Amino acid sequence: MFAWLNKNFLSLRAFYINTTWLIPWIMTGFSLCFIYGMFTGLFIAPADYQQGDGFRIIYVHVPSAFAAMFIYLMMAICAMITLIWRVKITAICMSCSGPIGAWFTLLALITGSIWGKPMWGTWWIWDARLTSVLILLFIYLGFIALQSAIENSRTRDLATSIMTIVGIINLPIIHYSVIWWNTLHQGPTISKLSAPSIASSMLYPLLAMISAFILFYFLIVVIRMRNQILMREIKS
Amino acid sequence: MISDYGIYIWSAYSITIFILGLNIFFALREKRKILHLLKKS
Repeated sequence: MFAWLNKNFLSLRAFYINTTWLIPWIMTGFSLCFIYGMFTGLFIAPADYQQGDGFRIIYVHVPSAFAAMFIYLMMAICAMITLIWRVKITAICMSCSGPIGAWFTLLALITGSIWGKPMWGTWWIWDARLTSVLILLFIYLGFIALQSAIENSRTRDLATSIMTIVGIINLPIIHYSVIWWNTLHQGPTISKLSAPSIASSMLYPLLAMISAFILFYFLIVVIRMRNQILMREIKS
Repeated sequence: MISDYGIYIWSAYSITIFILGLNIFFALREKRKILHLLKKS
């Protein structure tokens, strides 16, 4: 079973061949979701009764924060597979995801700050949610630094996998920070198990933008993984 | 139509597009470099 899986999907060669046709599809999906989400979010969704048009920043802030956490989760899954089964493709996926996750975390912090100025009256506050997301950015930067500090690929994969798994403790802290502590940041809106407390006319553009950001991550990570595979081919 | 907080909204959207564009740029630049190396080898 594992040998079959490895031969058809997990080997570097199989991955390179299988993703050749995948890239245009991801690109199309991303473009459609992004254009729909941007247009409806900016021009069709009604203004919020308290925040006015300022709430439209959530259409870039929430998806970037969601993507930052999603990417870290993907990295942690890859790290576990790398540690247990020593699969090369997951190690490459983890190493390519790190910089993309760092960019999304930075974007979440910047857009959150831009939203915070008109709504809270400040660019930054040492709130539990903001601080835990800042820690996530530092974890990503630490991952990138560790990756570039170790020459030997086997040692590098081992060290970064362990670091990623240890860092996953930060994800539930980010998610539950608004529940566990009394924060200025608002509570969960769309991830509540009961009905989401947001009107559908505001929700659909948000879901489209979240999908667009996740597809964008897959697009970039697949391109970068293919680059890494080619690079290994040149070196060998 | 956007009537208030325009500067904040457009700044957030511009920065987002810039960062997404930067990611595509770096990925494609890396690809171009590797293809160049591959041709040489």
